[in-house]
Order: sequence, then structure tokens, then C-alpha cells
Amino acid sequence: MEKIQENDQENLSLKTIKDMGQNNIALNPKSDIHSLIIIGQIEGHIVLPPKNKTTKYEHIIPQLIAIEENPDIKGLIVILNTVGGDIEAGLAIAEMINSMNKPAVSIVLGGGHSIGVPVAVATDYSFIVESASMTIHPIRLTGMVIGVPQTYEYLDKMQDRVVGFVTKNSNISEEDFRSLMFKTGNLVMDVGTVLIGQDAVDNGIINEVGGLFPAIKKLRDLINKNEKGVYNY
Amino acid sequence: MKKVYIIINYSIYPKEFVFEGWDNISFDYKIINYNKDVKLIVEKIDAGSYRVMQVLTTDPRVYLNSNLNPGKLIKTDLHISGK
Repeated sequence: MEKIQENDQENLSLKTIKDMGQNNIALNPKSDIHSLIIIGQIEGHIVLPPKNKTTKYEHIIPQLIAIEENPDIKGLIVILNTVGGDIEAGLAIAEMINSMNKPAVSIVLGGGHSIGVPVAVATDYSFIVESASMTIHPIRLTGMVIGVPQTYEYLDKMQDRVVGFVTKNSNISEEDFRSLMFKTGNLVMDVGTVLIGQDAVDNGIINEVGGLFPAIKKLRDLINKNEKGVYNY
Repeated sequence: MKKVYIIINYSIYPKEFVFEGWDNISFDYKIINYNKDVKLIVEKIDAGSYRVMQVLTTDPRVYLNSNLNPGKLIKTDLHISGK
């Protein structure tokens, strides 16, 4: 595998010298932090139609394992721009990030909606850019639902998983989070709240408003602190 | 008969939009060997070109190879032996 990559790189640099008369910049400067981009729908148990842009959890989870056990990688930065998705896949990713020993920082860009909220708070420290938004709303069951009281109970239990994870890993209380979830008059045709930039910080969900530089700076700080207590595999 | 499915899709996008055409998706799935010990589930695009759907290996480091990210095209079949 390595061989093919090396050949490709060699060919590419030869081609650049021939065509442009200039050497290309180093293609492979190894960084000691890794970036994980979570975009579109988080895809779980069901393969979504191809027009959806998806993040597949069966690919992300082994990546997280590799990041955690690779001694060359010191920290993780999670970039979020997601509209939500499968609740179990989202919680799986969130729990994996949360249980890592290596420092992790997240940035919410554009949107971190629905199941994106637990993923955003799963890291050690979270950022949101000023223009990004997060939608907090109740979960819904899709498909054939049996209309019995137990169905409501089931749905409530599923909701508790999200509420529990978010409140455990951020500064918002359960009561406040539920009141944001069931607020009316904020979303068109739905129950819930949209939090934009600073609102998410004021409500205690996200730690700080900021973008790339503050996030990298924070990650470096965490790495430096972690270095002493780092677990050697 | 319409397939019955139950899923909790916690998303701001309406389910009609996300699952539109879900019943009719068909892929030309194939499992191929990529560099000896890595198996890939791929979708055949045309002769000699495949799109990666899923990586099948227990070695986590393989998943960090960006050439094998889901959705990437594999053009050549010089290094691939399919069945």
C-alpha cells in the first residue's frame, strides 16, 4: 500500500517539474494531530439514498481506534457540520470520542443539529463559530408505529439517552436542556430551539465561541497538559 | 408491498427528504481484495473502476488511509483481484 502511494507521489512531483517547471510542496508533512470531519447525515443501520451526503460510523469508529492507539498522533480535532442522523450511530461516535485518552477539541461550523449536539459536547473542549447554529428538538419515530402508551415510553427512553449524554458532558442542566427541546414558537412547524453561536455558549452546551486558531491553541494546551499523564500503550 | 421499517432518525431534515427513493436503491456490490489482506466492499462504476463502500479489515490503521474513504474511486484494477 505504502509503495503505491510513494510511486504516485513521485510521479506527481515529476509531472509538476515537467509541466510547470517548479517543484511541488511537500505532500506529506506529518502532523501530530488528526482532524475528523463529520458532515451531512450521520449514517447508521440503514444505507441512505446516494443524494444524501453521509458520514458512515463503521468507518469513523475504527479511525478513532487508530487515532487513540497510534503513538504519532497526539490529539484530535473534530469538525462538525451535520444535520443529524441515526441516533445510535451518533451516540456511538460521541461515546467513542468521549472515552478517548487523547485530548480532543470540537468546532461546530455551519450547523451541529440534533444528534450533532452530543457529538459536539463529547470532546474535552468545544467551540462554535459565531455564525453556526445548533437545533435542539425532540426525537421522532419514523415508520410504522403501534399506537399504544408503551410507544411513548420507548420514545421517552430513547430521548433520555441523548439528554443524559449531553447534560453529563456539558454545563447545561437536564431541566434547561429539556425546556430548550420542547420550546414552541421557535421553529416553524416543529418543537425545539435554534441556538446560534453565542446562544449555545450562554446555555452552557458549548464551551466557547471561536474558530480554527482558538481550537488549535486549546488542543495544543491540552496536549501539553496530557503529555505527563499520557497512557502508554 | 411497501417495506416496513422503523428507525429513529434524529435530524432536522424531514424524513420524506432523507429517505426518498430508499426502497429502490440497488447497488452492484462486490467484495474485492486490495493489497493482499484488505478487503473492500465496492460498487462497480464501469470496467476497472470501483467506488469504495466499506472497508473490511480489523486493522484500525487501514481506516486512516484516505484513499480508502467511503465514496473514493479506485481506478485501476492492477492491484485488485476480485471474485
